[in-house]
Amino acid sequence: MRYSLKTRMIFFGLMLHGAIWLLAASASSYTAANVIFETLDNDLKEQAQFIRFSSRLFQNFYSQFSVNEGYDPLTDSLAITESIGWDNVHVVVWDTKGQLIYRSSSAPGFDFPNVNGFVDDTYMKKGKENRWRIYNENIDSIFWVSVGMNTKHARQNAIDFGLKALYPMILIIPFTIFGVYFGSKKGLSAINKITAEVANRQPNSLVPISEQNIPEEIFPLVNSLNGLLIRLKNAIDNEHRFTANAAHELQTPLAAIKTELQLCQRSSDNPEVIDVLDRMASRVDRAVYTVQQVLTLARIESQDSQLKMGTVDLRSVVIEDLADLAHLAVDRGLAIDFPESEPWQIKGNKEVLSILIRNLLTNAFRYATSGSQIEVSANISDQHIEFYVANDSKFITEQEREKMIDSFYRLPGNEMPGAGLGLSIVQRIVTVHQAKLDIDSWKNDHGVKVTVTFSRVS
Amino acid sequence: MRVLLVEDDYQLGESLKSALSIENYAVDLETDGAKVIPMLKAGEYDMMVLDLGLPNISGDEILKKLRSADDPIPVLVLTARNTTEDKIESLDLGADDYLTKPFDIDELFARLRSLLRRSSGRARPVLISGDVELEPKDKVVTHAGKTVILTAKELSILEALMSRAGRFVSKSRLEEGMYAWGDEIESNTVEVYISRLRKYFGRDFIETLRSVGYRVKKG
Repeated sequence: MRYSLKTRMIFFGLMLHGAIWLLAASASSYTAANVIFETLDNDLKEQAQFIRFSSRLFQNFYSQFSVNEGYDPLTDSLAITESIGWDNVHVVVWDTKGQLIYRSSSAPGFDFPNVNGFVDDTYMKKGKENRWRIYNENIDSIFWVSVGMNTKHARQNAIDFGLKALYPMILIIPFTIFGVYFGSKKGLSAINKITAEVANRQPNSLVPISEQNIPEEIFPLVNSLNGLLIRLKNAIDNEHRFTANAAHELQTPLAAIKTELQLCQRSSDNPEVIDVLDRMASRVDRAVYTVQQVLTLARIESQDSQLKMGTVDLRSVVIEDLADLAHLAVDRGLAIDFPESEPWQIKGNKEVLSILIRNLLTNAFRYATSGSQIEVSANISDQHIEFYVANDSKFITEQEREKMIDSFYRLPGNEMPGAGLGLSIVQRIVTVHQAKLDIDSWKNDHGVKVTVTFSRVS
Repeated sequence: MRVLLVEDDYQLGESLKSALSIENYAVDLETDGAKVIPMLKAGEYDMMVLDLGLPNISGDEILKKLRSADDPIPVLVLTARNTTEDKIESLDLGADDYLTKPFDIDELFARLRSLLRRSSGRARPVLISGDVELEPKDKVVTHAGKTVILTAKELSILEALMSRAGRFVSKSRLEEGMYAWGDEIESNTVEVYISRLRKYFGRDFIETLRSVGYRVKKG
């Protein structure tokens, strides 16, 4: 399972935002609850104060005017209190001995208080637990007042407040997603740029990746990758140089051997000697051919990253190479079928493509069954040019066909001169051109069809 | 004929020297590049066979010095470097011909003969294919001994085919030879001239490889 960094960043970004929202909502609910309960306490205190104030007022009033007959200042103050009708506030009044004097309607039976101040208590009502906030006060050592309020509403209000504080945040969610998405996209664009650069490289390019504008996080990665590329390039260059030098150094001694051999052939009259010399000459020729093929391969490998690519009509290259080599086939009595066609426009290097074509043609001309027909043609589709060379041959098994591309592999019993490098060279050129090489059977394994599929250029 | 053979590989040099001696060339072998110019000044050589990878002074340097001093001696370059660019570079530096190692001594002899002919101003040899002969210098064509008069374009195509007798020549290469005449080349111009040549020399004189090109028999 491969994770996208962007998906991760968006996922964690949104998770974090969600957590922050919850935290913010809890905090605002908590603050709201504090404020609401403070207000509630003040209300209760005020109510008690009012009772105290009004009872003292009535007491003063009655004692001043001596009208206390049949009037009770407490009852009157409670009557006023009741007439004002504080919302949800309930009042219970006792005398100092605990005798209930007054109880507002639907007030629960508060416990008789013994200290001034706030008390939290729980009462059952209709099987439900109700939590109350109660303020007790002893007024002038005459009576006790308990002022209480059911805190259900207050708590509900606090939660509502917290949720309402969340509403604007819900509106912000789309913006947050948008922001997180674009933020991570923008942040990752540097990585995407490097990915694109690496993806669009020539397949054989060992040129270091540009280290400009690379984010700090992946700089060490790019840096060590570049180090690796440079070491790899040096190693490959050394190997190519060694191969090329080795092959090159073989050419002069081979030339000397060949010259001596030919001198011997000229000066000898003995048919047996001439026979031996002929065989030696053909072996020297094979060595010469191998050395040349190795040189060709080394040359293509050492220059493949700097090959100049342009639009090429592959068909016209094939025509020139066919013209150059066809006598090898026609003089052997082989027929060449090269149908008329529109141009085969591809992107490539003409000189190197010519090496590919010549290798395929030479193979076909060499190994084709006498008197058979060789097909040189292409299937054209919108995207591709499938250039192929097909020839009849002796029976070839699938395993043999698969091994053909291997360097120095030669079919068993092959008496033709050759190094077994032709298809390795072809494979190399195919790779340089980002093309595809297929070796298929032809006429029930009594033949070979080599196809190179190029991208078509319109 | 005196030939200066410059080859740093002594064994190959010795082999070549004996090969050239059989062909009646008088050969001096030299392995040191630095001694070549003084030797050329001192001795009367008819031509030089020059290896490029030499110690002290490279073959390229020798060629440059020779040609900048206007020395016209025919030079055949013999080298292990075998890319087209290498060949072009040597020819541009003033080499008259180029042969890559390893080579066929018969080809070496043929090239030396051709070099001598050119330097002595003699014409190229007569081109022969079957009973048709073409003398390249005066453009005289004979068919079974009888002279045939051809137009310039017919001659251009015939010469292109006969100078590569035995091998096919692509249609586009034949067309290139005709552009020199400045006329418009139609898509079937080559076919028209091929059929004219067949009328002169017989149907089988020119062989067709469909969609590729034409050839005449060798010899």
